[in-house]
Amino acid sequence: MTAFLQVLADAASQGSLYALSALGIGLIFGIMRLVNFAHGEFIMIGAYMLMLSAAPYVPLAILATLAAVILLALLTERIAFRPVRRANPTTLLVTSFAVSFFLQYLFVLIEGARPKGFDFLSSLAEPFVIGEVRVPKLNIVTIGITLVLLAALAFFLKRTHFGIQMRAAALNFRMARLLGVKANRIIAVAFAMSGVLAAVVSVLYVAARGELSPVMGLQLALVGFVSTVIGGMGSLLGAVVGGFLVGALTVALQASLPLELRPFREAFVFAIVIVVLLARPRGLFRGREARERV
Amino acid sequence: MNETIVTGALEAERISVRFGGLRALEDIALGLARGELLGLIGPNGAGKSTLINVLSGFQAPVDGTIRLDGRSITGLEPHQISRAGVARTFQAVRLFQGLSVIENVAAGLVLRRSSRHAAMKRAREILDWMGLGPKAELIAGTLPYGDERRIGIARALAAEPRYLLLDEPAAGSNEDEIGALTETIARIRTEFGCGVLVVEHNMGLIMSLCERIQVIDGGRTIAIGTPAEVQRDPAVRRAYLGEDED
Repeated sequence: MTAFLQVLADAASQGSLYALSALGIGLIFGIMRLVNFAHGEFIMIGAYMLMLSAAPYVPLAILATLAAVILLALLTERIAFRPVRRANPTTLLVTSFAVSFFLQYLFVLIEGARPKGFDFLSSLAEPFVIGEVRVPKLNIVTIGITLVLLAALAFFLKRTHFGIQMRAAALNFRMARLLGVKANRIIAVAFAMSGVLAAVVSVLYVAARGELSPVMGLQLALVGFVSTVIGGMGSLLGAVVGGFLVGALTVALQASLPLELRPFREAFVFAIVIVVLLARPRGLFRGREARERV
Repeated sequence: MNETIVTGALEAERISVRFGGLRALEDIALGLARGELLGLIGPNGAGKSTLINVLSGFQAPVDGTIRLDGRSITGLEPHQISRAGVARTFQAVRLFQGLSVIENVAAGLVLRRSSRHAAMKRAREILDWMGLGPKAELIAGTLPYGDERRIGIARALAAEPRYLLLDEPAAGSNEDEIGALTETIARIRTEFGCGVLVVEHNMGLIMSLCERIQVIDGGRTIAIGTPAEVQRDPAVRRAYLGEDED
């Protein structure tokens, strides 16, 4: 029982990071049918920003990271994605790869390809003991922040005027536009929101791993993408659930695989993902909106 | 600067549309005045929907001009024409399927209402006005066809258009619904003061509703007049002969 609770706590925190990454990708996909692989680089650059600004005062560094990643997301949209907005999804996808690799190698150039150690908020690694379950404080912080962000996003989408517009745009962009929803503004807001999600992942990831590298975003973007696919492209709830599922799967395999197979954990994760998609090719919660695009 | 200023009309002149070799519209004109109820009828394939698409910017004509209250709107994008005051509905209604009925209407209020509260209040008023109040909280995708069409009209009205183009609003409705719809469209004209263009196959609705009817066939206008005039017109009779219209 204790072991199970332990795994559950780890799965929830790992799943939180994946869910936030998936949400950042799912949000943009919902509105403009763009799978933004550069989302991983948003996270990576956030991590470098955090390292560069961490010295004097941590809260300020977190704010700086948020600001920098939001700005980066907005600039990426403006410079790279807006010119090809009306192109077909393949062009959008290739553009996102181009942006992703550009940013990745830009940072290889500036910061070098090697991972850098960065001791950030390591006091949060101390465990918080509940009965016999030992949960690092950071995991609790991660889960808490994720829940708050999810609640805030749900409130925004359900209860604000802008949220209704954004949902309408995700369901049928052209019709929403016809009704007066301002395309540039709604897409910019979606990118800013994905920037916030990416920056939060930057902070939580660096605090958990204590290191960063130019390629660190790849894994997160890939898992985020896979999570949105499992959840059903176009469904934000699906993206979140998909993220938590992949996180849970990763942690469960980590705990249950024989020691000599553990280095191949990701192979097992993705093999199971393939099986899930064979059984449900459209994902677990396929968004209604993905069905028809006028 | 030498544009003719005609206040209060949506006008199309010398409009031609071709799809490959097919002449969908050939040198056709249409004028819809503010406060007017104009019916647009014709056999299947006559070009009615194409004409609505041209008026709302969904189809660029190869030739001709469209003017809105004297200002040329030829070549504008659909959302720009919508913003300028021309709203339309679609044969396939295209509601936002996952949103509630009231959210569907509120989504169309973004230009006029700044806050969610104001938008929802206005959306509620429009739904109540159309007798859809009790269905406001239902999810749009779950409703019968006739309701969806009326929600489509409510959503178009939310933009407070000066001209409203209705593409087959009665399709899929039963006799009772058509009666209620006829009354609603008549009230839209009086209460919103907009010009309403109705494309419809249901002759009962068109004849009882519109003071003026334009009949097109093969992409050309074959008659314009009052319901009585149009019904007597030999060209119209020829166009419809043998067609089983209800």
